[in-house]
Amino acid sequence: VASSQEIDAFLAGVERRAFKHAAFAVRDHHSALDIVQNAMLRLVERYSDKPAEELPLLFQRILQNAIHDHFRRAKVRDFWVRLVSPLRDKDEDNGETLESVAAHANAPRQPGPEDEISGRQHIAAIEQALSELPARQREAFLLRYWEELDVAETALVMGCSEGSVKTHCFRATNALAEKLKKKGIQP
Amino acid sequence: VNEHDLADEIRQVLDDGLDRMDGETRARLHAARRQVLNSAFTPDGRGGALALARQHHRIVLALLAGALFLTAWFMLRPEPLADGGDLDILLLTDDIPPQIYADWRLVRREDVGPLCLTVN
Repeated sequence: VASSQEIDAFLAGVERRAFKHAAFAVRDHHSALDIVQNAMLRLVERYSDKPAEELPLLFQRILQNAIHDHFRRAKVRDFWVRLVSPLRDKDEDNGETLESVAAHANAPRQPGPEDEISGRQHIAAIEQALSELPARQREAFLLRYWEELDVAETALVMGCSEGSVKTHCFRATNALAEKLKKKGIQP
Repeated sequence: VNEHDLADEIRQVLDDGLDRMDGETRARLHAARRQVLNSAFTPDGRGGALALARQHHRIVLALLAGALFLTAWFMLRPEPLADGGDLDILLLTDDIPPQIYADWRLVRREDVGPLCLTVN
């Protein structure tokens, strides 16, 4: 059973990465922080009796579920908002998905002249390219190559087959290479 | 595009991004973690009452349901039909003859007197 110190150390080690995962997905700073806190809470509430070595995989799964829950809640909220707001301008309803609308509204600020540090621009460009990937591709790519899970573990966290993970990773890599090339970054 | 080469490069950039994360976000993540751990563990590292209740929520719910059932039973149970104390007082003051408790078939008519009902 993981002690409170082990859980504390584990969470301290993953909290920033978890925040980035959530921020890439929802593209909103505050929502991403809420998602990470919820994931931490769920891990401690439900799985603090598990051995420390099981925590990373459990936490990744909880985090991905928390991100999906965020979009599910947003969809329900959006449904009720549309239902109770008859004064809404019909032109706004252009058939875009909620995710794409939220992404567009909260798109990261383009680096301006004040952000002249090239490293920071490079990071921002790659992070933006990652944010623009389809959700499942981004999820597979980050779990596989940033969290360094193997294919089987990634499939377990994503709740899909190992073949799907490989396909998502392959497509994500190609899409990222294409996007970075367009931004003038040669992979 | 070599998948692994690109992945390595992006991983490095993402790790750089983590190192450059702004102080406010770091502080908020730290505060969130402390809040979660404080709600789940006592200062000596053991599970707090709230954490235990959450972990064993089925037992807690069963205990609450049991307590609710007992309370409802106590409040709604029927009152006793007669109070024995009242009958004792009536017997002592001769308002009820003792033979009223006896079996009809064992009581002699002369013991009961003229007011007693007879059964054929």
